[in-house]
Formats: sequence, structure tokens, C-alpha cells
Amino acid sequence: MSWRGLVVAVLDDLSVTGLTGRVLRLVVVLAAAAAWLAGDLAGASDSPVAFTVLLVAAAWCAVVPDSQAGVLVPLALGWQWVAHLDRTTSGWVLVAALALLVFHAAAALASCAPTAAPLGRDVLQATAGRTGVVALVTAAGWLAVRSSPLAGQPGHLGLTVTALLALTAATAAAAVALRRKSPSTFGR
Amino acid sequence: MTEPAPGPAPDHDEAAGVGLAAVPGRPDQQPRWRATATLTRALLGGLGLAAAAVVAGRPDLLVLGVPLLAWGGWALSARPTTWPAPAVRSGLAPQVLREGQTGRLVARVLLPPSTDVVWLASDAVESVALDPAPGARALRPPVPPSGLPWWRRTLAGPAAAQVTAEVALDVTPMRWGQRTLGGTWLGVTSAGGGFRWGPVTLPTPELTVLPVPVAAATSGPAPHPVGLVGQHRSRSVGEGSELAGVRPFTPGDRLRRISWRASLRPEAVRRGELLVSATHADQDAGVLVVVDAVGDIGLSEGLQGRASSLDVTVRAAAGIVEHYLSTGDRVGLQILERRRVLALPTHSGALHRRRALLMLAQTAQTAGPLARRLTRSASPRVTLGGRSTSLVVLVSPLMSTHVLTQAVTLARHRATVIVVDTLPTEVVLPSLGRPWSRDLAWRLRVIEHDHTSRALTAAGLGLVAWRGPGSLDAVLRLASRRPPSLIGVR
Repeated sequence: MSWRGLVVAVLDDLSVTGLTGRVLRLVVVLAAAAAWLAGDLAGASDSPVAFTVLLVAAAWCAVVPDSQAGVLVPLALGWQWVAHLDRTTSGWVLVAALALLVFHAAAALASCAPTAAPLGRDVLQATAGRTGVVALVTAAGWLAVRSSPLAGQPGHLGLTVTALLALTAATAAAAVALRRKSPSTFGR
Repeated sequence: MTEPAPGPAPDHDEAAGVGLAAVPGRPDQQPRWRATATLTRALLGGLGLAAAAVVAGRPDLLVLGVPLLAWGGWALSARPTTWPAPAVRSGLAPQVLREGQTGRLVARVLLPPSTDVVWLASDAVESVALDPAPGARALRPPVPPSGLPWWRRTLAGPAAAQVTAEVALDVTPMRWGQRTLGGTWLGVTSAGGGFRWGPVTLPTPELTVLPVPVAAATSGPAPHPVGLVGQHRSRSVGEGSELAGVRPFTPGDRLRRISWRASLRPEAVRRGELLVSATHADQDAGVLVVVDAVGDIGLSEGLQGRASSLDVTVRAAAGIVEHYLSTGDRVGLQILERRRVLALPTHSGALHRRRALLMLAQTAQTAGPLARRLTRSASPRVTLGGRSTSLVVLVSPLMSTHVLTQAVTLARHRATVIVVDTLPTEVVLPSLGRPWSRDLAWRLRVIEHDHTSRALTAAGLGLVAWRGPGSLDAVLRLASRRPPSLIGVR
């Protein structure tokens, strides 16, 4: 599809979006901006390039929620915290994580059905409930990190290697699960 | 975990009254569950932040990655392990609708566990309204009767067990004719939006839209009925139920016709006469409705908007046909198009009414099984179809001289011809390039139309402008008082 065709298709899609869809798209952009703002409030210095990447990715994700552009949002956010902030476990970390969760949940909800389909109250309530559960998990993780005696310690090579191996194993397990073939309903 | 039962499903769901067509395609062509952008974002973003946290020794980055990792892990664990494909059925019910009547486009799908949202979408097509507009509906599958704990319902979705979900769109056609709905798709999303099944293309439903019933509301008698079965009283005396008077007995009279009360009156006794009751014959009328579909003037805006001349013509013809068939008369139908004539022989009854309306719905349609079967000839010429036709109703916008010549010719063949003028008073005309040219063209049309109307009246044909219910009454009464030989002969 040419760029012009793509733009026309996107505008067509947006023109038939209902109220819920529009609100969700607004939430996608605002939540991404809020996550960045939390980093700023935690004391991050300016990073116009990373901010532009985050904003463009969030906007693109709002317009086409089923696109892969949304991956750039957590990565840009990670760059902000790695490059422009010192190690911290302040409350702004939790705020940024929760804003990132809201961004992800809104984008997931916007992409679960065609743009034109109005989402029912039960779908919204279910997603809100799940987001709440994940938010609790996030808060628990933040508390665990904050209360850990290792939180303020510099990295240890052995621990880092172990953690990297664990991450690699988790990634491999996820990849295997993704490639797992669905059992056929026809008994093949 | 129960797997969907293999094998073909029934083509007709009697309980729902919906004709359901299976999704075409071999099983190995059925779509599979595919990872969505939501899952990619959660896993890549979460793992990326976690990796950065490990490499840089930054626990704050791990906190940032926790929500994405948690969401991704949950979505991954909720991956459905069976396909809903074999259970998908779809259909439109009913497949024959009136203008403005609402039918349902239904898709029924047997969902595997851990499914969250099922949706149905249909492309918009001209003259068909979809609800919810613009043609898509998403819903959660119903909660199975066995109660699940709240945390299981929240995390795994309502379809934690196999469940049948039905998603439907309301379809309301706004114009008569043969309609094909746009592309229709069905999709299912797993819990957490991690995986998507479909969209599956469903069979495109066909829809026959009958003209909206316009009550003719005429109570006038049909002129010169011929048959001996219907509800109209003949002007001649014969077998019937309505008393015409008494007359002397003649050989051949039935004994049960003897009026003993009249025969025993002193005058009758004095004259020595035996008197019998005379009745008016109960007769039916053969009505031929001729539809002038040679051209269409104006643009159709559907049922609620302004009508084209063909809209008014078809709706008026439907009203006339339904009126006469409801009174027990026999009705024939001929549709004159530019290159063909569709002819439905004279008949009566409910089945004939349905056939006539279906034929009207296929007016100006190039295809259609009924239209193909009833196409009679390439020469657009009206034929009376035997002596039984006592009334010809020509429904026309009075723009085709050929059709009007046919009407005058019929009148000269001793048929009572009534012309119903269906040119709308206000039409939407397409743009002709220059602003003034459209108005000028319309004025010329109106002048031509008025001229034709005067010529028809001068030729002795009954003429009435169609303005909805009751338009026929005046002309029918006028025509019923005239002997057929005078019609059209001045």
C-alpha cells in the first residue's frame, strides 16, 4: 500500500471511530506523556530526541493501535531513565510504571476489535479489572525493590550474569510457547 | 479441555430460524491464533527494560518493566489451545425483507477457553443501514453457567470453558431491489489481547428487498369483471348471493331459487306465476398491472429521503397489486424495461402475491433468478393475456412515448386502461456540469410530461397522479361507469 493509500485508510478508520475509541486513543497519548513527565519530575535532564521518539510512537500507536510502533514507547522511556537519571527507587518510578501500564492497556483495548466496533461496558470493565491486578503486581514489585537491601548497592558481576541467563531462559521459554503449534480440532 | 466436535454442522438452525451457512474452506485453510502487537509490545518492552535493568544494575528499570512483563506473561499463559473455526456459522434472517424492515446478520461461534472478545464487522453498502453504525459489533462471550471464581473470570476471560457466542448486526434495507451485503468478517481475541483468531471472511449474504406496502385503500368496484368467483358484483344477473329482485320462473331455474313468499302474494297467485329470486353474479376481476421501468428520473435517497420516479412506480405498483390480490382478484404483472419485458401470468392467492412482489423487487436488475425465468421477449410490448383481463393499470412516470402508445393501443382493444402518473413532484437530479443545465433539463421534462398527460386524457384514458393511498378511487369509480368500448375511443 502506498503512503497516500495508508493515510486515506487511517483517516477512514478514524472517521468511524466511536466515542470510546476516541477516548482510548487520547488515553494512549496522554499516558505515554505522563510516563515521560514522571521521569522529568524525578529529576531527568532534557532529552528532546527520546521525547520526540516517544511522542511520535505513542501518536502512531493511538492512530493504528495494532501497529508495532508502541514498542518504542517503553524503550524510549527506558532510555530516559538510563541516560538521564541516577539510580532511584522514589515514588516517581511507580508513577511512570503505572502510566506505562495505562498506555499499554488502552492500546490493547483499542486494538482488540475493529475501529468501528463500539466496545461494551463489560469489555471495558474486564480490562479495567485486569489492569488493576497488574497495577497491584507492579506496586508490589516496586515495594520489593525499594525495601531490598541490594537496591542501593552497585552491580555484582556474578549476579548480573545470573540475571542475564535467567532472562535469556525466560525469553526462550516465551519463544517456544509462541511457536507451539495449536492442537488441531480435526485431530490432525 | 473439550475440543469442538469435528464434522459439518447443519445448514439450518431451526431453533433460531436462521439459515446459517458454514464458512467455506478446508480445515487446513482455517486461520490460526496469531500473536498481536499487544503481546509483542509487552514482551519486547518488558524484556528490554528488564535486560537494561540487569546490565546497568538499575532496579528502577526493572520496576518500569514489571507491568509489561506481567501483562505479557499473563497473555501468553491465556493462549487458546483450540481453534473456533469449525463452529463458525453465519447467516441473514430473514433473507426477504420489506423496505425499512430490520433483519439480523448473525454469526455464531463456538469459542475455546480463554477467549475474551468476539467481533463481527460488515462493509457498508448503498441503501442498507447497519446497526450499530458503521457496521461492527464487539462483545464479551457469555459467562458459562458453572460459576467461576472472580479472579479466574478476570484473568482468563468469561470463556474459561468452551462457550457459544452469538454476535449480530441489525440490517435495514432502505430501498427495494436485490441487495448484496458488503464483505463480512468475524474475529476473536484472546484474554489480554495477546492472540487473535481471524478475521475470517464470512459468506456474503444476498438480500431481496420488497417494496414498502402502500395501501391503495380503494373501495371502488373494478370495471367490467369477467370471471365468476371474485368479490365484485357483476352488472349482469347470475349465480351469486346479492339479491337483484324477483322474476318469473323459467325452465332451468333451480327449485331452491323459488321465492315462496313472493309467489304466494295475491297478485302472483292471480296471474298464476311462480317467482324466483334473482341475484347479481359474483365475479372476479382480472387486473393487469403494467410497470413502466424504461427509465428512472432522479436519484433515490432511500425510504426516508426523496424518491426517484422508479421508486414511486415500483411502490405504487406493489400497492395496487397487493390491494387487488387481497380482495380475491386475479392479477397479472408486466414490467416493461428498455430491452425486455418481465411477465407474470394472471393469477391470485398469497403465493402469487409473493411472486409478484419478488418480481417487482427485481425491476431494473440485470440478474436474479426470477427475472431470468420471467423475461419474455426483447420487444417491450404489452399483451392482454386473454379475455379475462378487465382492467389494465399502467404505472408510469409518463416519459416513454413507446409505453404510452402501448396504453392507447390496449384501450382501442376494448380494455379499460387507467394510467397512474408516478413522476415525483420533487426529484434529486444528478449534476450535468453547469448549474443551469439541470434546471433547464428538468423544466423540459415537466413540459413534455404535461403534454403527454393532456394527450392521454384527450384519448379517453383514466389518468391519476399517484399521491399514495386512495389515489385510485376516483378513476376506478369513473371507469366502472363506462362501458369498455368507449374507453379510448372518442
